[in-house]
Amino acid sequence: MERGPIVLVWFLVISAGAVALMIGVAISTRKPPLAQADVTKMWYAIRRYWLIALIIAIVVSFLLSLPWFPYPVAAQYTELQHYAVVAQQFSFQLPSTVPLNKELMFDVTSKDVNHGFGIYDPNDSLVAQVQAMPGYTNHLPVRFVLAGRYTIRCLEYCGIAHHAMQAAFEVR
Amino acid sequence: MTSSGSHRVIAYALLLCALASTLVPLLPAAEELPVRKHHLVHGLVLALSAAAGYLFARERQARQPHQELQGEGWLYFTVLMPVLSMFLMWPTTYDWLEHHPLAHGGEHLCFVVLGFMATYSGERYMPGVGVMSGVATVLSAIVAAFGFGSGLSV
Amino acid sequence: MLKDAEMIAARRLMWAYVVTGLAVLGLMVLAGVVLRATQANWIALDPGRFYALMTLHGAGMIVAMATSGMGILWYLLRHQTVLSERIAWTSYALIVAAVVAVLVSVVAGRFGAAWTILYPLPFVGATWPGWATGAFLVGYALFTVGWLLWCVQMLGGVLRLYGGFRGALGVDYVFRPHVFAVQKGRPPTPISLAALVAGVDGVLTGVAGMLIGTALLAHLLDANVRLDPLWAKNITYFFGHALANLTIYLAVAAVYVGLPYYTGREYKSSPPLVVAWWGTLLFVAIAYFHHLYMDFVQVRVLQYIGEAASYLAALPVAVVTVFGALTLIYRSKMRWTMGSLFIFAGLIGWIVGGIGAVLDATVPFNLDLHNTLWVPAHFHTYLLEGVLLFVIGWAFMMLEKASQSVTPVIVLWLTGLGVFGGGAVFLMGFYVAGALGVPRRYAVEPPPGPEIASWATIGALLLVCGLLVALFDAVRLARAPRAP
Repeated sequence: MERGPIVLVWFLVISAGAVALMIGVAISTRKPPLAQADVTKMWYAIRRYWLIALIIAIVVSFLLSLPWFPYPVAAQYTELQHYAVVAQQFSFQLPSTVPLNKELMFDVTSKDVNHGFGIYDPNDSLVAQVQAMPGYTNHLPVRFVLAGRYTIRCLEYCGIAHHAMQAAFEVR
Repeated sequence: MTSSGSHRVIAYALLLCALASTLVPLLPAAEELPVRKHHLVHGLVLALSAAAGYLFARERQARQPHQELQGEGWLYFTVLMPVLSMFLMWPTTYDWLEHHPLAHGGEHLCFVVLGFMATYSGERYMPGVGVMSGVATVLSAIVAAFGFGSGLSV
Repeated sequence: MLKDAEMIAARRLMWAYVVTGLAVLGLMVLAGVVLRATQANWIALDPGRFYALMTLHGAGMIVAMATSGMGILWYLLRHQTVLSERIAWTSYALIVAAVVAVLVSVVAGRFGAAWTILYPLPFVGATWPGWATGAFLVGYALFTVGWLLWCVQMLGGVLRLYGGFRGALGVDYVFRPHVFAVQKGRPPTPISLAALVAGVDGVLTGVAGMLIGTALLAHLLDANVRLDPLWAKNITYFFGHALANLTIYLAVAAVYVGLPYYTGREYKSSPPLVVAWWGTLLFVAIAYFHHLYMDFVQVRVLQYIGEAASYLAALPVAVVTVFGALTLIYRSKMRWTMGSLFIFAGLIGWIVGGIGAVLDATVPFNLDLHNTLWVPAHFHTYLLEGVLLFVIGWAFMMLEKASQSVTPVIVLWLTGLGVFGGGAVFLMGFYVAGALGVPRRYAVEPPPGPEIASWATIGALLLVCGLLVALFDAVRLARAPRAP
């Protein structure tokens, strides 16, 4: 599922609500004015619930997000098949094919500067990414559910040909 | 002993400990340290001298209290001391310094002066400012230990 | 109350900072339009020039926003306590020198490592000469020293006002209110709290900036000096994130003064306001971990702290600052002028930017948004339609106070359409492209990047038109007969 567009929809809905509220407050200045003390009393009664609602939203969002954190657990290092990826200015060394519907692990590093290993599926949706750092190996567990040609784009500014740093592999 | 008097004693003790670090490189048994430990030792020297500077300034404040911002020179000192201390943390000089004990002792003396002045001048400018400066100076040495010439370097 | 001569001196200094900041910003806006037009394939710019301009744009914008905010907050704190103009002018001179150094580096040397200069990038595969890297780093050092001088001066001023950290933080005001009231204590004002946070977090930020700058300079002069890339990344993003974030809290001082002026209501200190600033003090410093979500080698617990801190950073804003602002505006006798319009719109930009930021700071979403155009989407919203609008609102408020003239309604509408309407179109270009996975910092974007960039460039041009209309009105107000 493409998460990006879903996040965009959420962003637009929440922002529209916030903007509508702000415009409502602005329009209220056309009505007969109230004393500050009366407004403060009214709004501060609401604020307590607003604070509680926000704290609940924060806690729930945080807890809900935890299972989707991408960081590999110990068992994955030993159980999954590993594929080495080496980034350098301005190319990637990576496998030509990887299996479909099987969780695997990319071991991503760099020979020179920071790069970004961004995996785009055949529909050109970004499905996974991790940084490629010199001197470190980032381990990215991924499961591909769509067969076809995947494009890799560099997602960390790395120099004059950063935009042209691409590669591809097949998933089958 | 008054509180102010005990502050002064502790301040002198801390300063002496910091100054003792200038003699350590001169000892025959002085060992070569990895870069990370070397940064941390500098951090310790800075911490000792910064604490001494703070206590001296506090003792002076107790004797001659002031509520106003003092001379601008103090502000320039308290900003520049942490900056200068970073230039002394040049990791590729450590090897050379470890083979030149007098220069190494001199480098430690510089750290003592910089750490002391970072907090002393800040506290003279306005009580509280020196604390920020001292904390920032010591933190920079500790943080430097984990990547400035050390760690998984490329 | 300041004496006349003191007021004139303070005002002169404030205008120097604000006008310089806005002038640099104006140049950076033009640079930004060129960048977006290049991505739209309207202009052919070779990648070397593109990335050099991108580097200048990023560095210049942050310096511009910081400089304007520094001027405003200094001016406001000056009304509450003694501050030395000489130190503030020294900071200003260092910042101007920094801008010159960066311009030389980029324009003459085509330095193009991006404003984040993520080690080992400036030194590997560089298509610019070593002196350009040196000039850029010297520029950063000059700015950082100027910034530190300003931060320490602000901190000193606040500590003088309240007799130390305990008073400046309002500890007794919050935890011992009855004793505080009996002793007739003075609670910290909103301005002093903003200055305290800027001072404390600013010093930490500045020292971090000096540390990474020194390390990079050391490597430039001696290639045997090796830095740990993960360490360098952490320091760089702590410095960069905190500095960019602080520019909002500098400029919010304009809101604290502007809204009471336009609504006739008071912006008072309260324990919730003080506690909100404590939260800001902490979260500005620790939220930066969200820049390293895609560095799986980062110490794991810091990723969780990053998400939590990023969420919690929104609380003080949502529950106190913006909420408080709305209580000032709601059913008030708010006068809608250029000044109040910009300040109000800035609040909207801050909220919307915050929503985009919180979504991006959610780790599972960051998997899809990290280093896409969503990232510039949220910070352009904060900075262009938040901080900048607060600064412009402040400038207009000062001009309106001194002038008998009133801005015609047609000019208000034209400005609004350009700056807010055009701005919205420009920003939506980033959000939509980012959501579709278009990478950021690409001189040549994959589809649908160029098509979206075309719309964004139109929005940017409308924004520029709106800013020009505002500029003309500002000049008109400045020349109009003075108010008695």
